Amino acid sequence: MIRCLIPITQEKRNENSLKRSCIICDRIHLLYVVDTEILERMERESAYVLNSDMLDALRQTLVESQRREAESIVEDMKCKDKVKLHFEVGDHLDLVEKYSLRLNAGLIMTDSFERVMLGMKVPLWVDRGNRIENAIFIIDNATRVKRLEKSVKFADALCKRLECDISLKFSGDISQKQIFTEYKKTEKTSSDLIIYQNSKNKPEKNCSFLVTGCDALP
Amino acid sequence: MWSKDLKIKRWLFLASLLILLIFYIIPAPEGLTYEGKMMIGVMVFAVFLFVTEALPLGMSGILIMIIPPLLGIFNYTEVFSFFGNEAIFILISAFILAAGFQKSGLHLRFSFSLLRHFGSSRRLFILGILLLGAFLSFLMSEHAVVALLIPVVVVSISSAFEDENLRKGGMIALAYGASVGSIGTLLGGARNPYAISFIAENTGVNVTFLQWSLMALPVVLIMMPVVWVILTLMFPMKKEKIKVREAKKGRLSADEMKAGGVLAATIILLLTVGWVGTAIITIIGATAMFLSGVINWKDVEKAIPWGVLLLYGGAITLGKGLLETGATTWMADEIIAIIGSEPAILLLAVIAITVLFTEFMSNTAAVALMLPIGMGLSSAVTGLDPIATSMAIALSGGFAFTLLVGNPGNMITYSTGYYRQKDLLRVGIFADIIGIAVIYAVAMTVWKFMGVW
Repeated sequence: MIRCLIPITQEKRNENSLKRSCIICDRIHLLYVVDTEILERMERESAYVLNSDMLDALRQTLVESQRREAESIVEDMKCKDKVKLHFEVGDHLDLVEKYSLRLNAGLIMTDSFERVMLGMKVPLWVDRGNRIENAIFIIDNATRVKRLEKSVKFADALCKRLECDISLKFSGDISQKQIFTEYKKTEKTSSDLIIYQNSKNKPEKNCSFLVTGCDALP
Repeated sequence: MWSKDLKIKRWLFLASLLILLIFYIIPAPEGLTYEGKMMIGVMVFAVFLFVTEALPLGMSGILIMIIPPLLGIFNYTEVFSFFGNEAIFILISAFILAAGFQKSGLHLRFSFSLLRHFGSSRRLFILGILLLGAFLSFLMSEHAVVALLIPVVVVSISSAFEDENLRKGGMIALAYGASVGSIGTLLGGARNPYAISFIAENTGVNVTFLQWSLMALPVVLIMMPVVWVILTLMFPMKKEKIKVREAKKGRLSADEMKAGGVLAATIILLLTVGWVGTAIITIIGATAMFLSGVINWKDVEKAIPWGVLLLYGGAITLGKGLLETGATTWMADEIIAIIGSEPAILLLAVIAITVLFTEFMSNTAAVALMLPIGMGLSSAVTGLDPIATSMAIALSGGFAFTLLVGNPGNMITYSTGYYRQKDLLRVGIFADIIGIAVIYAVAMTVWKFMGVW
């Protein structure tokens, strides 16, 4: 069972992830975050022209309007039966971390790469909305394949749902150039999808699993 | 989070003081006195504070007041007397009138009644929101209009919530309608009373409520359909009807009648016997609002945004300081050296710069900064009328369509989550450019025809 967490904010709608999640996820947790930063900024900008009562009422109205917006996103999804909406007001990244732990998410899905999410110990899917036919699983060392069995199986399961071919690539091989150095792409691959296991330090405990379109990395 | 924010603000504030220090150290250029040089320094200091918001705007306003006495430019007792300005009293009484209107609930009845006539198509509904925002901004502060109408627009859109472009267009229309409407009368944008007091003080001409509206309404009337077309083209909507909630049923309540009556009577007086003095009539109107029993003093205490009034202290000090020290003349000469002395080109430049400024800072602050410069240019160039220039600056100050900063209306509607910054950006750029062209065209044709210049 693949349990996905899709964080959404006003500016980051993650529309590609929303579409793709219907194919690859069994259960979708949509976390809509009203970023307090936006509300505080609104209050700062308006405080000199609106009184405190008006600001309080306005804050409530704005949060409610965003709730309605969040509900409409779920309504628009083709697989809305699989979706559970979590609506929160707070700091976006703090809430993503909190929910990924609370829901025991199997995959966090976004449309744009955010380095900080790699530290959340949950596989990260970065979706650019491209059609996917081939996938490549990149591991920095061939000897790690056995130790990363779960990850390989997980990648395989994802690819089955996407109906794409998967191949393994060892970036440490003599025949291969180093493809990634600390998440920086140094060579373009021909695959539509890259599944990258960052296995530095202690791979089993403290690693991130990044699934991304070829052009997704910074 | 907050402490980090505070740290940044402290550094920004120190940087603003550094600006003053730099101006203090550098020698005055030829043709500029020490006082003039330091007043330009105060202006740059003010711009920095307004843009970075290292201090709340109201606080920046009163801080700007005390800098010139510290630098020996003004006597300290003199700067505090600047608060005894007609603009301040127009504003206070306008806020009291608006508080009565708002408390009576008349704005809600009016809003739903008006919007119901625009429900036959979604494109038309956008026009309805624009007109509603504009009309209410003729009577009260545009930012308060946006805050009050957010629930009205949210409820109205809810029957067609699946139409994303309707949501985007509707919210942006509210912000734009209020902005465009705010220039229409002296009761709308808070910068308008400041502009007429500035004109009166520097030219001796009292622009009445009626004269202001006659000059500003052509801009409003052209901008409304233009903004509507831009919004409906940028956000194509479905063709279905929209079901607008019914207005409050039944007869007008006693409070609604009283508030409506007082407001209507005040506007009639302003239009017919405006020569008596705008502040005098609006204070009489505010008194009548109390006597009618619609509001009490507690309502007024809640309704007056003191930040705007305090900002005026700084604005007036800045304006007087720049003019009296000869700084505006020097700046005007420098601008003329770059752009030339063709009045038409200078007017266009002044309008464009004001619009640019107001995108990055409070529209009141932008107008306060530009009015002395405009006045300096008018004095230096034959054919550039000071009233037309000042009016053009005041109207341009309402047109912050592109960015979230500088216009609380944009920020408030953005916070609903119905549109993204890029949506505002792509519509706002067109609206800004067309807005500049419309103000310029009206100034060059209608105002000339009216005999303003």
